Amino acid sequence: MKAPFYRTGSSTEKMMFYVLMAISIQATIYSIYYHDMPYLLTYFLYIAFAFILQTVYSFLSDGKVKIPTLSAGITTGLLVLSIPSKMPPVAVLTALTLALLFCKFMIDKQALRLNPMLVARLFLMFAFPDAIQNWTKPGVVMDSITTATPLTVFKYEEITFPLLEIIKGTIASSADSMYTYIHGSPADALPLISILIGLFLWKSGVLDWRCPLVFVGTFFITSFLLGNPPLYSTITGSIIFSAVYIATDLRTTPKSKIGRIIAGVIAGVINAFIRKYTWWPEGIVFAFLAVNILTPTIDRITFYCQAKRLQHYKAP
Amino acid sequence: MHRFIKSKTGDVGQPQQLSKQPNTLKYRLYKDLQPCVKEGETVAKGVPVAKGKWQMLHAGRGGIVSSVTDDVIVIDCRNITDNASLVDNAKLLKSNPCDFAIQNGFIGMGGAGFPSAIKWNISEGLDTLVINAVECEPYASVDQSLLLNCTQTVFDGAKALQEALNIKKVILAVKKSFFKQIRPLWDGDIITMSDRYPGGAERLIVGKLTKKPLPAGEFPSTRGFLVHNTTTIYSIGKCLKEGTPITDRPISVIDTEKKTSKEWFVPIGTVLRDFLDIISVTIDLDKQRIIAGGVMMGKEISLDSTIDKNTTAITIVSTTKRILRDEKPCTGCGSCNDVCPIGLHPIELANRIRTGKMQSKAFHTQLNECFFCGACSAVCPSDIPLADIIREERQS
Repeated sequence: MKAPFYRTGSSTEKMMFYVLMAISIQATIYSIYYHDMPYLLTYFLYIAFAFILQTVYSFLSDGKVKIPTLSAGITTGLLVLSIPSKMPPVAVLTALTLALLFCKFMIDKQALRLNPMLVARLFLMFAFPDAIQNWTKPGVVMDSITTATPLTVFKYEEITFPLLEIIKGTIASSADSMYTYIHGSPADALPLISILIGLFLWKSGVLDWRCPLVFVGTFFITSFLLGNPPLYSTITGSIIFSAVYIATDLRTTPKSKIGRIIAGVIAGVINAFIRKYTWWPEGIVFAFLAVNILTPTIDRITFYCQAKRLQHYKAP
Repeated sequence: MHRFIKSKTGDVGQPQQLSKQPNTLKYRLYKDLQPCVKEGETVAKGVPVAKGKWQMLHAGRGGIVSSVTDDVIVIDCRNITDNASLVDNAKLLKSNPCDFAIQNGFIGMGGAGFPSAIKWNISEGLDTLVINAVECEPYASVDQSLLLNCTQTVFDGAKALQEALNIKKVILAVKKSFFKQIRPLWDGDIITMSDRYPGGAERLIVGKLTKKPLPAGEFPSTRGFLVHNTTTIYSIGKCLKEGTPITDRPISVIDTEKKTSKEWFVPIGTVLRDFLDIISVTIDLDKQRIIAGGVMMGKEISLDSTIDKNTTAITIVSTTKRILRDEKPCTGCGSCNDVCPIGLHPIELANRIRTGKMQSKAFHTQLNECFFCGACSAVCPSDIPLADIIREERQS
């Protein structure tokens, strides 16, 4: 045995378990709050599919049946929370399979990693552009009621809703009683719950506060400078949700403290610019994919800069 | 997971004398120490048994030297009452501090074992004496116990050393949480260090005092600092009071399972088996291990080892649970960078060592700065032995 003979904090499995539980709690709260029980069922079925996929993959590649790690479940949970609940299952399963295979299982030891959840969502955005915009009112069995999200309404008509209604998750129609506006994804609804869960995860040491806080802060400031209503932009369009779950992804964000702050700044600025100047109402996927691509570079630069800083104090 | 190591302390008790003295004393000869007694010789208490260029070892009790080898001297203790002739230590310290350190066998008693004479030999430019009582190792409490219970001896020692070396200022370095307890006892300057491990590293204290990190390979003396552990300062005070060289030291016995620690004055050279017998601690070697030093930087030792001059603590750890777990792939959580006191990137270093990408200058700078506190290994959720990997590369 070698020093240190002391361990503190939890293990990798425990951290992943906490995050998966947090996502599942969020899905459960959503489906109870909006009386959408079928959604919860599909959520767990998709997660089961991810575990089966991982087991099959490890059997095919190593010839052994291993107990799957929880990270595939986390990816699936995040994806299912960020898409409309009436998304066709074939599309979701295809996206999941492709993302998990090519962005998770097959490139286990690469330095450059893309968050598989973002890749799956990007795939859905391009392959099924209609279905992913098809935000339906939760709990309604009919297929016909398709509604707009507050962010889309703001994007094209510059109408904002009262903040309190957005936080409470009960947006009433403002223009016509025929249409009811709802939040976009399940992740988008109830931002307060996301904040509470994020605080809990931070308190129990699973998350690092730097990247999410800097991301939200930078986004807020940049939105303000670009002329978007900052608070309204921040609590709509999954900003809080992605700050808690995507900005804190371990593999795809930089490893160092300063690196995480840089990543938060980059993501916040890119996201605000995408919202203001492009066709896309939200821009989480692009902002964080950019961070993912830059991560190995940021890691290398911070490593080099720290060495430079230490060298600086050396007596000549 | 918490991305820091809290250096918590249990109840700080009073250091106690052993109820029974051990019958054999075994002196381990390290560095350049050469035995200066022969087999069968009768020695009195306080007589040097081994000499080196910068330090000495003294017999803790009178007795007969039963065996002398290149690395071990064993003394069979008898009731020999005559002591070695007493030297006027106070006078010696004033006239020749270096000689005083060598004659009385002073080495860094906070764990490093660096001969004090070498530190004191730099006569010019020393202007601040720092008493290091931070003790960042979790559960360790011997320095704090000395400061609370033997306050006068510690401060006498510091004062004498200050006068002898013409030092202008004495600063006491303590943990933040200990500040309230020590403030009424000490009227000089106090610097508080973080409650997180490793707050008590010499380099970090000097770096905080001069507001500029101390780089690797540079000694505190280049900035005019003399840093000594509380136990060393206490020993100087005791040496001046009683006129005898260092023959015993306070150590704490830490039980990590019960999270308690107890302080004892133990003769140097006591065999661990005897010591644990005397203080009636039983050890189940299947489930528990003995560590010399604290949990973070200690070394595993056997029951036949001895208590050396630089053994600060005996720690009993149980081998169940996480300590024995195997390494898992890195998840990139960055805890190791969070916890590193000088902001290194341990996992990046380990990855580069394992893949052989070791040409860059930045890599070598970071590698040389590491002082092996082991904090990164302790917080790693995947149990990667980062400190070991870096240490192996440095030594090769």
